[in-house]
Amino acid sequence: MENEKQLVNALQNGSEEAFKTLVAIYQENILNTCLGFVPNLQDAEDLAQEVFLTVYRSIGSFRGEAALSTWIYRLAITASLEAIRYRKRKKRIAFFQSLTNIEGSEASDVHSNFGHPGILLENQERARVLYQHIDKLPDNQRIAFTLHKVDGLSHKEICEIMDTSISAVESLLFRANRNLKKSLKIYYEKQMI
Amino acid sequence: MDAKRKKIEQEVERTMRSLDQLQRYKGDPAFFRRLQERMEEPAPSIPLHRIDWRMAAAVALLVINLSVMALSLRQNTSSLSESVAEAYSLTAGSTDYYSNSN
Repeated sequence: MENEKQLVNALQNGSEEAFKTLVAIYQENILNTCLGFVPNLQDAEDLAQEVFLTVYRSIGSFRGEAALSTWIYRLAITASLEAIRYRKRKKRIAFFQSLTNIEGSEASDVHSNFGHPGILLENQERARVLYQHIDKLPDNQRIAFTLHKVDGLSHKEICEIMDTSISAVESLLFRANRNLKKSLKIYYEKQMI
Repeated sequence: MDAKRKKIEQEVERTMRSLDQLQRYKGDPAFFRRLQERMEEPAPSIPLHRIDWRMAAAVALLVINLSVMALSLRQNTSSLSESVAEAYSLTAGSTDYYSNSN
């Protein structure tokens, strides 16, 4: 905790060495969190870079009300959800352009460039399907599910990041699982017709 | 029917478990170098060539259409009031009660 205070002080004083240390400490976690939300290595790395740039630029506004790691996780989640919304908007525009037959426009799948390097090759197609359905979850269920299932965080860690209680996190995870199963059931029923 | 339902349930369960053996990505040693390069880049400006001219033209057409509609609506409203005034023989003098009472 004392080390974290020193690190924050050094960052607020503009120390490049402290920034390098921060990136070394959190790089793997933040990359994996971004990969959890946006399962493509290139996109996740871009997002992780964006998160560290935001940390660098706005560390002055960090008041220490939450742990530094919690703050950085929140930045990573916000950036990832924003990237997902941006892709959805692009997909909607592409869909309307394809309706009006504007040349060169195609409605593409949000996860058309799916490729999480940590997913076994034989599970890639199923994982892609699962991600399509995770996309339909409300944001809070999606965050809880992704942090737990993909990022492997404990309920306690998730409740700190989401600034809520453990029972609320458990409820979100229960509803996320139930909604995913329901949505996948409909998907496979259509597949088998 | 039961066999189909069972198959669907199996598919759902297998898909739900597709992330179970997920390996953590260890990161790239060049990550910090790339981050530094990005930090040294000048602030991005909106390049003109990235503006979708077709979308811009569609928005411009929409704005022109709305302006023409608003203008024509205003003209119709004033000609309607003129017709009403004409039909009831209303003139500026006929409604000038206050000047007559003085």
